[in-house]
Amino acid sequence: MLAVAVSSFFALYVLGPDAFSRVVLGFTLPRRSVNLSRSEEVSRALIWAVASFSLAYLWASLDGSLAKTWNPGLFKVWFSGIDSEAYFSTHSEVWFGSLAAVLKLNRCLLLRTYAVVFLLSILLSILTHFYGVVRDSLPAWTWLREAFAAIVLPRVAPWHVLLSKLLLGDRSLSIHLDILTKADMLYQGAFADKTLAADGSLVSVTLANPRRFDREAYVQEKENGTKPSAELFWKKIPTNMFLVMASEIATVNLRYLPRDRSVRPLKAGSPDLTDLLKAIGEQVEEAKRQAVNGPAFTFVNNAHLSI
Amino acid sequence: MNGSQIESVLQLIDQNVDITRQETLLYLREHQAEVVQALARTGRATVKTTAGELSLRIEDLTAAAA
Repeated sequence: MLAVAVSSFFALYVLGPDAFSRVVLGFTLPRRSVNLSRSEEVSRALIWAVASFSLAYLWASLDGSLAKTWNPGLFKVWFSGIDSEAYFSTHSEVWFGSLAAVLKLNRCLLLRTYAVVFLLSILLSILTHFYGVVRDSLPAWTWLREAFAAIVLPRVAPWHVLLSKLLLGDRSLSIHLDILTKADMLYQGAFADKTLAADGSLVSVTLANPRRFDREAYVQEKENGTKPSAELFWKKIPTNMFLVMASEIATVNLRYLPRDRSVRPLKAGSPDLTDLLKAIGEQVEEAKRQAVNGPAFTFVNNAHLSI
Repeated sequence: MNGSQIESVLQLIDQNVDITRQETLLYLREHQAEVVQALARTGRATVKTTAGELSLRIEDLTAAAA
């Protein structure tokens, strides 16, 4: 009975918090995008267990619940009963009475432990979902940002880092890919989705608004002596879900562009660009005014001619 | 990837975006007259960068002035 009791406590207080946190965090960071070694898994489980239990113990102490459920005499009876069959046989009535006290204490601590785990997991999920935004708002100290990454993000698969918008501070940016396949085909498109294997390796990439480069026609034009623009040889593919299997990919180029392909998001953090856009705006207004009223020198010239 | 590796990748992404920003600035300075004419005529101009073509609209200028 002692072994059963110890195993149960171990499962509830040590393994449970980590497992529960993974379920909550799994909504933000899919499990297969996380690559932890066995020792890192154990360390993380222990940290969750110690941190959540400590906070739960503090909580129960401060609100008086621990004092109300703490009964050392009954705990002693309970422990003696599970440790010795002989004691249990002769004191079974008293033992069952002590069981209620033990259950009450554990309910007090476990409810608070899992509540703390839930709240911390929600906080970590929010920080993970808005990781790029929060990171950009931190002071630009490398050690601080690295510490933030170490606390918030577990060991994330490289492909999830590279092909994931949740790490981008500027949410108006989107990822565009240029993919050269092993069959020497060049594709371009906006990143739509990816599939990762259980070990975090890339299985496939899905492109939206894809297009293919007609290299044969381009080379043919060049051989004819003309200097063709490469842009003319991109052919649109009529789909929004173009899958490229990772096994077929030779190289990938990642580009980060504003989602609406406009200049506006780029002016953030660039006073020079903002000033230039203002100056262009004034010139455009002046150009429109001249188009409506005519330029001032035309009136002067006509007056001169009339004289 | 651990924290410092993620941080390195994010800095590369920041530099990637910054290059696009610098190219946009350079293009607008070099082709300012054409851009002004296109905006006055059609309300829209194209900015060419190595990352791809971006569009500049009258509303973007209004937002910059605000």
